[in-house]
Amino acid sequence: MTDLLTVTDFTFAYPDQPATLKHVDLSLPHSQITLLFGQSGSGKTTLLRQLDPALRPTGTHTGTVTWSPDVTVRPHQLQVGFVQQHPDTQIVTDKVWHELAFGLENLGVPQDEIRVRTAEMAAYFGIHQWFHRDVSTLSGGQKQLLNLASVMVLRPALLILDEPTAQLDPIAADDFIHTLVKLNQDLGTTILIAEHRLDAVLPLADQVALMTRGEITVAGSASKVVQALYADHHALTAELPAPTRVYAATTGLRRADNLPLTIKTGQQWLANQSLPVASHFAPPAEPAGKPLIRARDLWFRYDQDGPDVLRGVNLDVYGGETLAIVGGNGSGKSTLLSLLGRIYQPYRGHINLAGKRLARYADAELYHHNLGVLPQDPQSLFVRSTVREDLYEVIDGHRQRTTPAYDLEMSKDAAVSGMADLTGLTDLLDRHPYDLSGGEQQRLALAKVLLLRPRVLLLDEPTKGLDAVNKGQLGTSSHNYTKRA
Amino acid sequence: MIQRDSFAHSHPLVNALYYVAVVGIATFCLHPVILIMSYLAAMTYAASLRGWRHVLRLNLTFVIPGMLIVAVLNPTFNHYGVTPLVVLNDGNSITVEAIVYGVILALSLAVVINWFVSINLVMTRDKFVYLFGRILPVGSLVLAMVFRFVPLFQRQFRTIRHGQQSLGRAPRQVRLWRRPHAWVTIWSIMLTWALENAITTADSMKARGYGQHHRTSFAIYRMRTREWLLVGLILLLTVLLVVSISTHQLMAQYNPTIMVTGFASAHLTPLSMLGLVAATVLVWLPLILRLFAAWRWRKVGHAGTAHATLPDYFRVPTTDSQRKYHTTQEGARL
Repeated sequence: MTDLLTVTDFTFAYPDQPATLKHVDLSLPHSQITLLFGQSGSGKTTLLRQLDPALRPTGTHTGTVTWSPDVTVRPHQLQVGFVQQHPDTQIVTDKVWHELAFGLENLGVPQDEIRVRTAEMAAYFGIHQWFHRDVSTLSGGQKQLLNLASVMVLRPALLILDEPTAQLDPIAADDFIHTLVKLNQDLGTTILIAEHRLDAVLPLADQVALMTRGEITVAGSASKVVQALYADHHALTAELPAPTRVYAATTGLRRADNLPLTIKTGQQWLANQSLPVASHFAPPAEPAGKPLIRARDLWFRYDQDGPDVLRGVNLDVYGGETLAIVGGNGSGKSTLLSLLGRIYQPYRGHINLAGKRLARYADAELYHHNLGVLPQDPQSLFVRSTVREDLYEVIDGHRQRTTPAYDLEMSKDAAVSGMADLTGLTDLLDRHPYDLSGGEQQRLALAKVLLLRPRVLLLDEPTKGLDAVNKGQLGTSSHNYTKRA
Repeated sequence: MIQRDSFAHSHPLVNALYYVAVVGIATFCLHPVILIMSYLAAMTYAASLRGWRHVLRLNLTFVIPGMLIVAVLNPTFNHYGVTPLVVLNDGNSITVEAIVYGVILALSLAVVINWFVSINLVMTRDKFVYLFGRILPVGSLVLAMVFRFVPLFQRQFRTIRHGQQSLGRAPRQVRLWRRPHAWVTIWSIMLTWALENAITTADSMKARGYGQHHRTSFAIYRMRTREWLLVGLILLLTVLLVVSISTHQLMAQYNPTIMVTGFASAHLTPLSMLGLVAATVLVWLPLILRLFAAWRWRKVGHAGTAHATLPDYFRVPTTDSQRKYHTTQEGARL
């Protein structure tokens, strides 16, 4: 029994660039789930794209990618299906049923067969409830599920997913991974998935491969890879599920045969241990003084005939504190942030900032030095073609003069280089903002907002799509800023 | 309203054929009886879909004043006809024929406007994409993509504007002479975002086999017997009307004299009756279909329900509009 796909000694380089993939050996057994993980920039996406003939990038390569000889692709099927990270940009048509039928239309499948296959897939994924809906009315999780269904309707032999849950909230991400596992069990599709969020996938993967700087350094079962990670003191140990990290920290991985990967196995292991437990965690100190932001009885809805999004919200935010607002999908977190940032106005209730009504502030006074809002999509702030130019753009250019946005005595060059240091962008100052990775883009957007030196910083889902290392860096950057200010 | 309307949910071909026929009648057939009947039918159908308040408001504030304007303008510019009322300075005269023709033209315009109220609601995006795809297969995909990306770009535009607003750089926040710069900034961000993300979309299309084979087009509409019968009926009625008009049994003429045939005991012939009946059935067709569906429901519907009807506060909401105000049930978690 041969594997479905075997990559042997594969080396690939983009034109005029050093090799991105070096001597990669990977085999995908039939009907198994293979997890590929590694830091951003380690070459995961490049490897995944090499395996899909339609998306193969141009460049020079040596080595082979061999398919198993008994994989026959029938006329109205696709050999490889690919699901990317962003749910929105993969969707092509405006209706759910049309998106499902899109792939089949491409392959020239006759009408009746399209009807049958889309109906089957829709029923399997539970999409038949919203079959006739507009794509723009779906949530992120639903859109990603639609993407998965519209690829699976083509019955690919191999399904490749490139960080599919990066842009989804944790509950939707969990649901998506479980749908994938169900797919693997019910249809026997071979799955190759690159992921950061290892909590859900690691226990369920049949094979795990770690990629570092273009090479597959370890491949095998989950416990083998975990041991290798800890042996190298790899930074990626921060991505592992919490039970595994607790186990590794307390036992030093002397015995790895029943390495706990889920909370269930972790609890079982803990029950047999006698570990000293911390007596209590000190509660956070009660904030002193009057709140900096005070919101009372906020009611808000987007249209007059629509449902209320916020109903009687009261909020106190004190100076110097970091407040996290958490909640489920659609619970109104971003809307609350928009109200605090005066993007929208509540139809009932008021907000006070530093004792003065938010509505009474002049625009210039409010957005320069008082409030800074980091939007969900960092790309919506990028204006110029290099990072350095973008940072200067926020403070009105290179010329040293006082503007409403920049009234400091400090020289602009010093301010920009200081901010680049703070947010870890010093090495990236000459790159194009769109060429940066997700984490770097978040940090650039944060740097732009911080250059206006706001007293209050509103961050809307800043860690979306970031791996643990980048999350830590973002946290450090904003923490350093609050301490400094 | 529109949810229960059987004509609105018909096949696009039926809808398209019907509206072509009916707007054609309003434009080309200037017989007063037919026009008045079309006006009433169009208004009633639009009201059944949209509500009387909206339709009456549209007619009273927009259509009727427009009609008056056209009715007054026509005789001031056209001076044909044989019955002068007032003789003007340069020898031309305001004639009765021109006034009447002006009123008829205005009525024709009013009928078309009212038909368009229902066209707006009945011809949805799906139907346009379908019809377009019949003519030009690749066009249906392009049209579907347009309908997808225009709202998406609109939303992204708003996001970008809010992002700039929170930096203090939205167009309405800066000085007047900086406004063009602010707009250009927003458009530049929008364009870059659109182009970069188009690459992802193109990859997604390529990964699903776009461009490899000859494309077929999936239609969610099916022509069943009922649809063929309706198409046949519309064509038949149109043909009868055209026959009746072309044999001059049902005609109206306003220049040089007013001559209207086909109604009132004087000129009623079998052929003109045929034409009138065909026109009546044609313009009232959607409402006839609605009545027919209601009658069938009365006959069949109650047989299936055995329970007594409860007061309103016991009922569980079943439609989306009812569900909006009951927040306990909600859709899928994802």
